[in-house]
Amino acid sequence: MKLLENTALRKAFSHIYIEEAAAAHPRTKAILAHFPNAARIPIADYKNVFNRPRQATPLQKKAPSLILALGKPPYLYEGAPVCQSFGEEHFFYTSCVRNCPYDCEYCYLQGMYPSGDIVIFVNLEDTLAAVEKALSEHPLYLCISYDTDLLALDNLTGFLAEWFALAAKYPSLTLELRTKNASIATLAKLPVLPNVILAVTMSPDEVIRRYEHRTPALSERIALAKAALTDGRPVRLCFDPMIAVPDFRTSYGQMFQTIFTALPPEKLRDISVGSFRISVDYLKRMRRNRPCAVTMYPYTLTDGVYHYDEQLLSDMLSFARETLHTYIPSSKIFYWEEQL
Amino acid sequence: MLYITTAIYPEAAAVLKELPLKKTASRYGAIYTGPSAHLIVTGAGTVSAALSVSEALTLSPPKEEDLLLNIGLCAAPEGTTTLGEAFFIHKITETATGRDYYPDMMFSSAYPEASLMTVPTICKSPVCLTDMEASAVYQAGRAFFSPDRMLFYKIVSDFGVSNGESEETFTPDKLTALLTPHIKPILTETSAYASTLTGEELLSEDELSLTRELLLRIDASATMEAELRQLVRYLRYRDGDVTEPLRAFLLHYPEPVHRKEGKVILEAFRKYCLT
Repeated sequence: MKLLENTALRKAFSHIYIEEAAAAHPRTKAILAHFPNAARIPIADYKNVFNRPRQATPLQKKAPSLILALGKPPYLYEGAPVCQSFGEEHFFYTSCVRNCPYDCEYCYLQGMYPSGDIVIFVNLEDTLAAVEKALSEHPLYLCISYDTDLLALDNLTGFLAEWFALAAKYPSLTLELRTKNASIATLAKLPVLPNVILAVTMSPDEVIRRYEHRTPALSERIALAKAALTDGRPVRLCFDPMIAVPDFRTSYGQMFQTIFTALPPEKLRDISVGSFRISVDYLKRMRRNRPCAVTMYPYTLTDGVYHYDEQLLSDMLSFARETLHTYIPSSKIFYWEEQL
Repeated sequence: MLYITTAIYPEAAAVLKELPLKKTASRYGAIYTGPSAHLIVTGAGTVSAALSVSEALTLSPPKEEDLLLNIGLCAAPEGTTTLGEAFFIHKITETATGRDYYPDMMFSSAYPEASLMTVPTICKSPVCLTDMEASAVYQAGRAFFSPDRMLFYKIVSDFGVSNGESEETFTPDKLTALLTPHIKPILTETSAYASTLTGEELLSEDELSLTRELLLRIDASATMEAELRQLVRYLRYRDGDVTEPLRAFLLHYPEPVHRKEGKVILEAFRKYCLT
């Protein structure tokens, strides 16, 4: 279903569902203070709202409701095979927020979750405790912003100060904070730590305009990465997912040139490259809920994962490899395709 | 199309003043039909409501842009509101099962929002807005509608019914009069929301017809048909128009072929899509 543009939709976060068990949590009260006029609806369990069948996800993405809940174990998840592990042995991710304020047409979250509403698990302290417990057994490479964009939501959640405090306490903990956000002011409030990697997803302006709705422009993302490098933060650039737009060589070539004119490549920690890929079940749901050029593309299926066909994959990878190698040593570039 | 449900005829009468609908045959309750709406008078209670709504939706399945609209009377706690006040419902609790249901509030209503309890018997002293059908309408409706397309409006008719109250207190005319002023505003705001939704077929008649022609030409199996339709839709999203490549393929392969050769043509079409 398509929504015409002249709609009188609700505003984002005009409705906040609050799990009864989370109502008294101080973070719930702090978040609610941002929305004095929102309708507050008590719920017994966040799943009663988040997991409703047949939700109109694309509509919800345009103006999501907020769900405040208590997260339950497990608080840490092993990294999925379709995710880049960067060669890390103990590769985990957390999901203290589910769904993202941005609206990318290709986003796997639309295939993973039955709703476009955003869930914040306010009991971050339980996740942090689980991380500390895991750290007592082995080092941890932890992605904290996979199922959301924590930097984009930090003014609301305040989660990042606590994650950074934990990272400062444990050198054996490496955090990856992935984002398409460009708020230099939010980042500036956080300490510079060698074990917190700011991973900025970069896309050509054409891809941003066509598919990454409400996200900052490429120039703004570059500005964030530049500010982070100036601060001395570890910065990762993520060209992942690369989308096969017509004449991708021109779009991606211009982007690479723009980025490496603005950023000193030698200061980057590393680069991640991967073309669009998605599990068969997720794509099935996305095609049903949000048919578009990205979801309807005739992908090739290998071991339950849809991806571009071998020739295109090879073309995209070769192009990225050849271009990026002129800027940065190959040891600093990680390719997801090599794991296929 | 609006699928409007009410429990009893005095409620329906208020809707019928606004919408000229004709009564049609039904097994449960009563169904009135017109060019832009169906009105389902379910009868009181959850079982009647579920049966009537299920029947009506099965007889006339809704399209993607249609809405299910429950308009009815409810009880409210004394001192919290006034008779005739209307509410837009964001949570329905079925007291018999303890289950909660949440219509998705996708647009800003002119009416204040509230929670509602659906109870099995007439309520003597309600603790919040209370009716006897909404949870069943939601449960029957959700097989056909997404939660944002099920909308519930409740108008306060009483503050609980005590044993001594006479029938004159709730005459049909009085009940109809409580709903009447709200019908037009409710229909206006829900129709405005419905008009923002469109379930229109992506492909034009021409594109659909050319697709069918190509399917026949290649002797497509069900799997081949699904693949071709997906490829055609992909091209439509990517290029905005798919008539040209379809015509080109039909011209290039003018004769019907056996399925084996059809698979080769389908593969060629797939390759074209990837260029």
